[in-house]
Amino acid sequence: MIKNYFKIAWRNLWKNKTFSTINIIGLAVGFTCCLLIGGFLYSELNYDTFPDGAKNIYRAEINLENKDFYSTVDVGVGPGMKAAFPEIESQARLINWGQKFVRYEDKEFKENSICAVDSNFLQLFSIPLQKGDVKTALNEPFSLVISKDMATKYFGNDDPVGKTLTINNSTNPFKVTGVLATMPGDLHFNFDIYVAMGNQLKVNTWSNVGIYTYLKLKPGTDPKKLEAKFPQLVAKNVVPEVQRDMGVSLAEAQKSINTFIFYLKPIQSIHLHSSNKDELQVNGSIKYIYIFAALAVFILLLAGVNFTNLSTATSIKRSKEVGIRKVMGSGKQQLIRQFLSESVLLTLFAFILSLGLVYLLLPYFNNLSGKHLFFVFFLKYTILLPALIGVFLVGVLAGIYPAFFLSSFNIISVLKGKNNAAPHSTNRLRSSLVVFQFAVSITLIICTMVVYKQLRYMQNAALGYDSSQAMIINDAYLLGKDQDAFKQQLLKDSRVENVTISRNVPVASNDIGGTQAFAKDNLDNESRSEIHIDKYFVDYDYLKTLNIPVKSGRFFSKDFSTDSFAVVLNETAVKAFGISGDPIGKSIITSGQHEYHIIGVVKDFHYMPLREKIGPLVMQLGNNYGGMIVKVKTADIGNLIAAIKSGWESFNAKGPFSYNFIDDRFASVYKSEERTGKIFSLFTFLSIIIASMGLFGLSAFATAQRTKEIGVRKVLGATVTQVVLLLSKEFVVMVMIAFIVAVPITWFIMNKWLQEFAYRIDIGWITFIAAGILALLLAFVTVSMQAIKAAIANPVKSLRTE
Amino acid sequence: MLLQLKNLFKWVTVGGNRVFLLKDINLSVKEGEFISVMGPSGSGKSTLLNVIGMLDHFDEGEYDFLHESVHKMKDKQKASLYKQYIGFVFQQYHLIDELTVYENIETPLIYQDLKTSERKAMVADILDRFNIVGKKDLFPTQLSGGQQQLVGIARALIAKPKLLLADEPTGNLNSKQGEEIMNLFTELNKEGVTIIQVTHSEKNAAYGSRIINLLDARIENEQTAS
Repeated sequence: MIKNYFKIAWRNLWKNKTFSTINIIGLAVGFTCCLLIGGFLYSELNYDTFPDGAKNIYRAEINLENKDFYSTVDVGVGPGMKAAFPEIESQARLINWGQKFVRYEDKEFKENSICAVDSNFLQLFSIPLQKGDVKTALNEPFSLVISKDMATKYFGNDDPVGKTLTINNSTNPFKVTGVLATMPGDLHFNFDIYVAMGNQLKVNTWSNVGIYTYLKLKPGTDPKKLEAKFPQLVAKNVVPEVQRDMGVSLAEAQKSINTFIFYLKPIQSIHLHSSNKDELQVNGSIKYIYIFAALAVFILLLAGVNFTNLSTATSIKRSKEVGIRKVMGSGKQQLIRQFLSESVLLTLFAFILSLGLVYLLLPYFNNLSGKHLFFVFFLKYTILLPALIGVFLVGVLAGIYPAFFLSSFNIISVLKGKNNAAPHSTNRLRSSLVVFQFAVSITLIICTMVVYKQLRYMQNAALGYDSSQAMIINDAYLLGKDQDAFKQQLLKDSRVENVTISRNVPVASNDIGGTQAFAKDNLDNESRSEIHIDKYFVDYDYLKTLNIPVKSGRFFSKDFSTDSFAVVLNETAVKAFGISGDPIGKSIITSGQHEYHIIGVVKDFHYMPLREKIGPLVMQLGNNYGGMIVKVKTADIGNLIAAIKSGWESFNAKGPFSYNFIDDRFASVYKSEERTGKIFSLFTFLSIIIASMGLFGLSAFATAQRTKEIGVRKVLGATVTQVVLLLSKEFVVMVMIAFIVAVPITWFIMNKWLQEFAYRIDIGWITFIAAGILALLLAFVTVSMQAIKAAIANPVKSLRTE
Repeated sequence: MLLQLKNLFKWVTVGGNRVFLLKDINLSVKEGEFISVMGPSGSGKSTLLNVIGMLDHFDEGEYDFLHESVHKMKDKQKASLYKQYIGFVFQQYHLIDELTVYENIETPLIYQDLKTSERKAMVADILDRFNIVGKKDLFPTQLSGGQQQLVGIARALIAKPKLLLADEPTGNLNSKQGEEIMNLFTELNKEGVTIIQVTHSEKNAAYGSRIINLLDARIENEQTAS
């Protein structure tokens, strides 16, 4: 019986090639989306799952006044907690070293992914070693473990174990004691080099941040109960430090017990649920997981709708067969099963095709998503089996309505050839489904437009400073004492307008320092509050170089020797400190009881990406060596860079010259928005293709049905235009309804998305109208292709065949 | 007695008025009879045939088939009854275009849940008997009308029904092909298959042992062949 079903299913698919092609291609595209996104989600949802007892590993974090959240704690916290609470099985700490220059013999490279860890760190995370003993590899100071890539990069095919590397020209070389094996999964960090912490962290301080501290609790420990005990450690260790550093009374310092809160974050929730400023890598977001999953499902739904619609529309072709089968004794159920096996067979073909598509598209998808998925991943039975079940379900879902519809035909009327194949309710269902398809397409069109509009807004917004032709020289500290000499040399070049030495570049928010501070003026004031401010260390030329306007007072100047105890605030900081009246001449006091007087206020400028609100910023003179910003004025950038590079080399810098432009950095800052935009446009494109294919099939069918009517109308004098309008009208109305449905939904979704951005666009009616017109145009072109063909046909022909 | 219709009515309501399709039909059919139903277009011939074949409902009256009351049966019971005892032949042959000759003939057996081997044997027998073994892998569109009707009859007979219902079986055929079909019917009737055929042609009607004339939904008269 099954064989018979599939045989006739196969022949039917073959016979109705247009119908089958539309359906198979649509479904294949849907499955491809689902598979790729499924792979993406699988990878995203499985971060930090491979370490032994991963569920019991937590990161100790700080919540400061419910306002600022840090992923790190101070040096003493890990060992101190381990000593205080027996529930903690072990603890390990990590310091992110940022960028370092690593040298082996004559090979030197800048490494971005290097950290120092406690000796038990690798064990705590079950990180496997290919060479060396994971238990002892990092026991000795100045030992380190490297990744396979690093091993090849520095030592080629030689055995790296026992060889030594120099880091940042340190006198003491580091010995390679192990090589990392391929990771069994993803972690929320990914370092190439793990250096032994050694005796680096023997101090016992509690009130700062900067140390990633992981605690492995004994199985069965309730983290909430453990967290409840943390305030006693704050009272014992943090309060005395606050009292000393801020120079406040004990009572004042004791307020910290309520505002300085240690808490535990399960490592498994870091990748998708944590977005502190100091994460070890850019984390994913659970929100995008939902969005992507929904998109994949919608694309599949659109394809399924095509099947349902085209099946019911063309059902008239099958009605005779249904009648005959019923006469020959087929029950309704047998017919339903037959039609279902047809749709299942079709989805199966589509699935096989989609596996091929996945194979072809995987490199592009990896590029787009930043993942490293392999094709074999999709062939694992844990993936393939659920996928096949999914395919089966899609087949059944898409086929169930047509199956019931077809199998319920009345024998006598279908055998007599009466056209009862499309009752009104079915037409209505078909129209609703087309409306649904176009509503989804229009929604996606609008979303894409909004995402790009916001992206362009952020890229082109007035930033409050001049970012054009501003070149950043990285790692200026490599010049050592020669930084100023290098700066003077640069200034001699007529193509250079200005130079400033500062590591703090607007746009790159990750290396801003910060401090607690309050305004001295308000000392006696009850409302005096200590705030967290961001801190820029700059030199005299910072403002000039970036063209940041001064609002009142002045910027730092060499003419005032007292300027080393002076600060310049931005407007937001003045407000945040609660300074009333003219701030110039007043003072602020920062952590460690340092007093600075305010000499000027600059206009607010976007020193953070536009996602975030401009915060309170204080600028201070300081030897923040590490970076330079060079404002250039030439069209011939290439030659200038070559000149700067040779200048750099003439100073015997301890590392290679590297640079980029502020404007280029924007590209990387807004990468995630760029990616969202790309993904949306891809899905929009796919949904339009699928919906249009379905509409094409439907209109082809509707037109064929009305051949005689068209003939009669033409004989009676209708023009081609009138006929085309007649045939397209119905579909155009559907698209308009879809538009009306889509607008409020999209309005809601996109406003929600825009909430993420402190500085955002208004969506504007133009976007909606443009999207509506686009969809209408697409639908009209699709439908009128058929309509025009029918309208220009010779009516005599169509009437004769009747 | 194979079947018996007693005071059978069928109607549709159009604009508040009953339009009768069948009116007070009384008919008994014995096993082994060959009945021809005649009458002008719209007189209810096909409707009568469909009602006898249990494809169509009726509104009033009784219908006994092999001493079972069809009018009291549910659709499912009816289906299993006609699946077993009744075969249909149509004017337009109604073969499934996507299936080969062999598969078309096999289909009723599939719905009776017979095993593949049994089906094979039965289909082979009937192909042999109708002399169409050579055509078994062709599709209906590759056959002439007469050949298609032959397949249609083979399909109707495959499940060895007691009653063969034929709705103008020769209506789309030329006279020579028609004659062949009628001879085949006579032969089948001799073997014991009861046949009821609807026809317009006096000549074909004469093959039957009994002729029933319908007019305006009622039986006008009955004549027994000489």
